[in-house]
Amino acid sequence: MAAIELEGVRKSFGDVRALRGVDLDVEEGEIFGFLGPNGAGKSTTINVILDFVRPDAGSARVLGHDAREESVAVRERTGVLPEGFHLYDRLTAREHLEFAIDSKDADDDPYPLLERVGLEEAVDRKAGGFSTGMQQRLALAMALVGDPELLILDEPSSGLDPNGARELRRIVEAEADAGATVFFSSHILGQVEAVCDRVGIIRDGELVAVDSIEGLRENVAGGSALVVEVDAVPDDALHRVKSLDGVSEATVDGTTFRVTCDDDVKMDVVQALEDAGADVSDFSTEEAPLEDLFAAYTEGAA
Amino acid sequence: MSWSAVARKDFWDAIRSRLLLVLTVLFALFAAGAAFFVTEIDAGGPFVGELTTILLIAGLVSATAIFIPIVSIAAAYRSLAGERESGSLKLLLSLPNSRADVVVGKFAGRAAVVSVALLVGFAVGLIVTAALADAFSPLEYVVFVGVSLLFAFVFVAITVGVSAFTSSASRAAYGAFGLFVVFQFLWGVLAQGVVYVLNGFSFEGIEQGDALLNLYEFLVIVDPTTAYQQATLWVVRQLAEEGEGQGMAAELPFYAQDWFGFVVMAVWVALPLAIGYLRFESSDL
Repeated sequence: MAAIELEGVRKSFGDVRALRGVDLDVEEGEIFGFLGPNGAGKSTTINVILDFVRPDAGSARVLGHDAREESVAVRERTGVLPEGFHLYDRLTAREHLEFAIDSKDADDDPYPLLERVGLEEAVDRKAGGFSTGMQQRLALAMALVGDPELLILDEPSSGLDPNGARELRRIVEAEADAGATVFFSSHILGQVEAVCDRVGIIRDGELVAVDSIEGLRENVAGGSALVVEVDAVPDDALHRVKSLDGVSEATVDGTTFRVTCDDDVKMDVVQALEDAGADVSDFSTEEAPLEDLFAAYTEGAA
Repeated sequence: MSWSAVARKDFWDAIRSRLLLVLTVLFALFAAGAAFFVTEIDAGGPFVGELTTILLIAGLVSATAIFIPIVSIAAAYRSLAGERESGSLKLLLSLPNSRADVVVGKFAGRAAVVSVALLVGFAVGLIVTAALADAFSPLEYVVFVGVSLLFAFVFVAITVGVSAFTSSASRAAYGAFGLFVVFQFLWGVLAQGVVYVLNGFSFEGIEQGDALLNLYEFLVIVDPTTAYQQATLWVVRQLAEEGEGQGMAAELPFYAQDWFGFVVMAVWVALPLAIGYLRFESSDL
């Protein structure tokens, strides 16, 4: 059974079509990375899953429940780290957890959960004085209350320092090892590629790709970049390279061309540069940086 | 019962608000001052003779009718709109709380907070009165406090209901305060206006016993502030040994009976919460 099933979900806010028919299946037990630039529809999708907003069309089922009609049942088994949340300034970290434990009817003890997210020093401090990173940790601890079967983390690494991001990754992996499904959104590919089994990429309210990182790599232009050193850059060289079939991305930095393309057009690229009047002094192939891959999906016509 | 989790959280959060502390102190000063005024100064006025608790209550009720709504609005206007504005509502609704839990829990939490503020104030008033009044009956005073709390719950419910309509705390405050002004100062005029319009834009030809006149009386009575005063009056009469005019009161239609004030207040608790819930339930966060 799928942990999250979206079918043809559409949602508009006034003139803005935030979601234009999203179909998505997240399998039980997997870590799913949900990627897209800011404003692409990530949070709207999550808000539909949590019944914060109601879709204009389509259906959403979470853990076998209808997201709209049985939202409380969904949230009883789900831990959520929402995006753009705010804590209760006058309540302590412990009181926040007690509230989550109360609401979930769980029998957790606040202290071990706070320890798990590295807030054991701040147990009885009021959240009003917390840094962004501490707020994020506290909300994560609240999400972990009651051993959720599904964790929904909306931009969880925002506000975390590299150390915090590493700890977050460890927690996500531990939850997944314990059998939980993790749905994890981000606008930065680097944050999801290390932990996610599969990745979905959303752009302009439409899901443009769902695959493993390796699968995405293979699909985009052979997944590798050609780096060509030349002596000088003729005026129309970049244009010529870009107009070749099989080239998805080309940039020039000083006298270095970086071209993302299919494997079989690499020699055509070198030839095109020579034709344009450049002397090629060196060329090599490197694996496409993930950011290029992401850009290919979110900007180009992948 | 997750509404109680929301209410508990909300109580501990709101009771630490500085605004509430200020209002509690103000209300305590007000209650003490009013008690002093009624016992010491007013005693030489028209009510010559023994100063009773009933007299004190009669003197207090017109002032509490204004003060209590202000405390209630101040304690509750941020309840839903403020959480929506800041984003803490996302945390609240990420947990398995239904939107009904949130509305009911907010009402219960804020009602508890207002109760604390008012009980502190009334306790101070009680001490002053007990020290000064000739014949003091704690029972009558306690019953008056109870009716006043019910009146406070009316304005907490109205304010929570208004707060469900907007994601701006300041708009919620204006809305709730606007309703208070309507109930307190404009209701009678509006009721007259309704009668005027229904009578073909004139007051001519309306006589005692007319359906329109009954409608007018009914409209006046369903105002929450009137209901509070009416309910207080009923309690006072019930407690008074010889209820003068009791016989006469029995002749009046049901809505003109003093006890009807309780019905009106109960409706004013339930109705705004129901409307607020319907609105909150159907809106995107």
